[in-house]
Amino acid sequence: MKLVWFETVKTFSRWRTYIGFSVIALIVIITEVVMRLSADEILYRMLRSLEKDFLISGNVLNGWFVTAFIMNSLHIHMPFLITLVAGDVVSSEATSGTVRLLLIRPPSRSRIITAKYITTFFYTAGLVLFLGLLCILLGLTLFGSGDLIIHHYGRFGIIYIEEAEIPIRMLFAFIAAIWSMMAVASIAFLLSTLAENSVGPIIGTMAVVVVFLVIGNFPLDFFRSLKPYLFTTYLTFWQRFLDDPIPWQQIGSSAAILGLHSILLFLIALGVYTRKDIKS
Amino acid sequence: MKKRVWFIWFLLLFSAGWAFAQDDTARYLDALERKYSALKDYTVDVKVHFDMEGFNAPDMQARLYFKPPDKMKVESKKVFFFPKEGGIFNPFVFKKEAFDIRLLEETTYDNRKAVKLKLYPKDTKKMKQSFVLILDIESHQIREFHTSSDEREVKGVIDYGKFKEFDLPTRIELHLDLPFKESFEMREFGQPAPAPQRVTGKAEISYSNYRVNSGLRDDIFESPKRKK
Amino acid sequence: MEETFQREIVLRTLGLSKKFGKRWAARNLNLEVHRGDIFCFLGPNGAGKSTAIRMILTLLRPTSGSIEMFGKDLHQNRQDVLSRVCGIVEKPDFYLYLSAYKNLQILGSMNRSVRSDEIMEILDVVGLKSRAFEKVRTFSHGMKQRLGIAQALLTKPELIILDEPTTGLDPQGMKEIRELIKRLSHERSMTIFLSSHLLSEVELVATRMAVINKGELIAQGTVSELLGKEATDYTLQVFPFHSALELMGSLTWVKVLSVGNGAMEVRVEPGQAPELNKYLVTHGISVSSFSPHRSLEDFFLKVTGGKSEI
Repeated sequence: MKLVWFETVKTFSRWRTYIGFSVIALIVIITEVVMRLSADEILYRMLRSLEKDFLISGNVLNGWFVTAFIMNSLHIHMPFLITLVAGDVVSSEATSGTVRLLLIRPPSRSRIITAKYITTFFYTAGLVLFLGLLCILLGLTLFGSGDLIIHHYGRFGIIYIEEAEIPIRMLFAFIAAIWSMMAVASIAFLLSTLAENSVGPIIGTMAVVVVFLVIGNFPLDFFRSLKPYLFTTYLTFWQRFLDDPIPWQQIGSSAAILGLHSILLFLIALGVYTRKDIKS
Repeated sequence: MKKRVWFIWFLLLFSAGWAFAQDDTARYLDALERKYSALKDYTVDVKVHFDMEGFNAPDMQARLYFKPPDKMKVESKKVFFFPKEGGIFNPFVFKKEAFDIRLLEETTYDNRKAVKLKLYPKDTKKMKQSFVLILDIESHQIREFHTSSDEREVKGVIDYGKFKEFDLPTRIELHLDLPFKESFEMREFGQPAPAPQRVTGKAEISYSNYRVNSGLRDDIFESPKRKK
Repeated sequence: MEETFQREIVLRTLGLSKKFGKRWAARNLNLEVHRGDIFCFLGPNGAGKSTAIRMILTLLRPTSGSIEMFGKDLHQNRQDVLSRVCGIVEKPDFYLYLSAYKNLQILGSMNRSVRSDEIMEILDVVGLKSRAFEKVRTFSHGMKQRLGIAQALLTKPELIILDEPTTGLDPQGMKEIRELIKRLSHERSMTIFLSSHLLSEVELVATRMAVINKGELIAQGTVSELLGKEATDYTLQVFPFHSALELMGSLTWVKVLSVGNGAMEVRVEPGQAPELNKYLVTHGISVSSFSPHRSLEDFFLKVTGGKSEI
């Protein structure tokens, strides 16, 4: 526990850690202000296909909707911000040379690497929760509250979640998002144990995520057949908490797949780190 | 010569019959118009239950305002979806001047005399859909309607209650068969354009707490238009 | 009693070897460090000193051989053993974005609970108390070196391992570190294991030493055993210069090699350097400097019998 605390102190004492938070704050504030200014246009585009047949009233463009809208881009910008720290948490010790002070202490390498992984989790969770809370608080301030209407692109699918039910669903969605992002963080973490600087792990992780996303979305049957085997396919499983009914089985399998990825990547990192010769 | 006389006679007879038939079927719409001529406005609480594939929503409630000939407004604190076609009871649509009317059959509905009429809009620019109505001709109530236009089909069954001197719906069951095409703007990166699809299902609307002829002002129907 | 104390071995390596690819960085090292020693691990750059120290401090996994500390196998008793040891490998690197105090708190607490007053006391010992709450980013190399020793002391280790502790320091900084090492040995009874490639440094602080070259141990023993056996050259600064020159001309066991710039170079028979110093002083010569003029290269050539490649 002490080790985790020290790792947390170290991580959160660095300005690099706050890049992610600052970028998220910037994205959320800009997006929500622009959405507020373009509310009519957004509503028109959003509801155009539905308003031919339905009268729609009430606060559709509310803080919850805006939160879900911004969260949709989670798998695009969050991995990059997460790798900034996850890709650096181990390698920075090698870069700065502090690894030589750290690993000659009584705590075993496996305890140290586990503490670093837990800290990575804290950072990832902090970043996702920060995104969520900022979206919600600013969203509710600018757009007010209301029921959440989710429209799935590509098929007629309207999901109506009553206002009272939204907070708990959002909480689950954020937990799921943290779980997803931990899979990304785990890749960066593993690469960080292999590298002596953070550039490689950051670029490497982003390359994996982007390549997998592109492969998974390429409109060719061959690539579509690969999709179930790509972890990026499951990164947005948090959205299932905004389905009705909640597809628990699908959520369970997605969470299991991502969880297995995270565990496996961590175990590899653990194995690498405990056997690694510190030559730097 | 004889042939020509017969032809003219036949033509006169047919057109007279047609005119008589028009006049005869128009009386049903006349009666309907007379029945509701004193209806100046109404306010009603509505509750909608959707039973449609792809539409997962709990029952929704709202207050509905109506003023003839076609002013309407829905007011709800919560997000509210309401079928545009057939959800708002408006007998003033069925003006005899606006339609070519054909009597499809004389029939019974709940053991009462009824007629089935087909209404073709005369001005197809103004009104695109045609209607089939089943009218209870004893009480001059529209009991069923079926409207179709382009790709849309809506069928409605109406139950009535008495509010002041007016028969107004207590329940309308709508069967919807609607086209759905995704708007391009909502597409995300990498998502292919989806094929148009059909949305089918049922919407059950219950009406309660009517307030009739309460003198609704026109300005309450004004709502700011959205910029596009 | 003194003999028993001296013989207690706190660090022993048995056949310690490390191979990187096809190259042996350290081969079959058998070192013994006794309690209370200032043990100097001497060798030229690239000789394998750091590799050996990294294995001792668990940074590198030995290819073969074993390490015992305090009579226990290091790898089987890692936590217990390392809680009694501390060190600095190469240059002391810290978390630059944290203060000296925070660095010590984090690093020290990994061994045991440390109190705030303990941290301040240690910072006082190394002369950094006034900079305790400044970020290490602002520290000079010498200050970091002293902070490195502070972090080692904070854990109250029985054995301190220092890898080239004076590298990169100016003469004043080197002197301070040397004095600190001696003080720690004398005042705190700590065993100190340090590596160096500077023979002069070794002579000034070490009690025992080992010599390594190309990964292999060449010699091990007390400093006098290893350095005192051969005739040695010295540089002398004396006054009056000509009187001293005349006096030395009469001594058979001293040979004047060169004279110039107010100094002279002389070669003295083994063990006779103190005698020469005493002789000059008793004959009214003021000796301002009497320093051995011996290069590591010379020393290696001697201990390896001319087979050394430095």
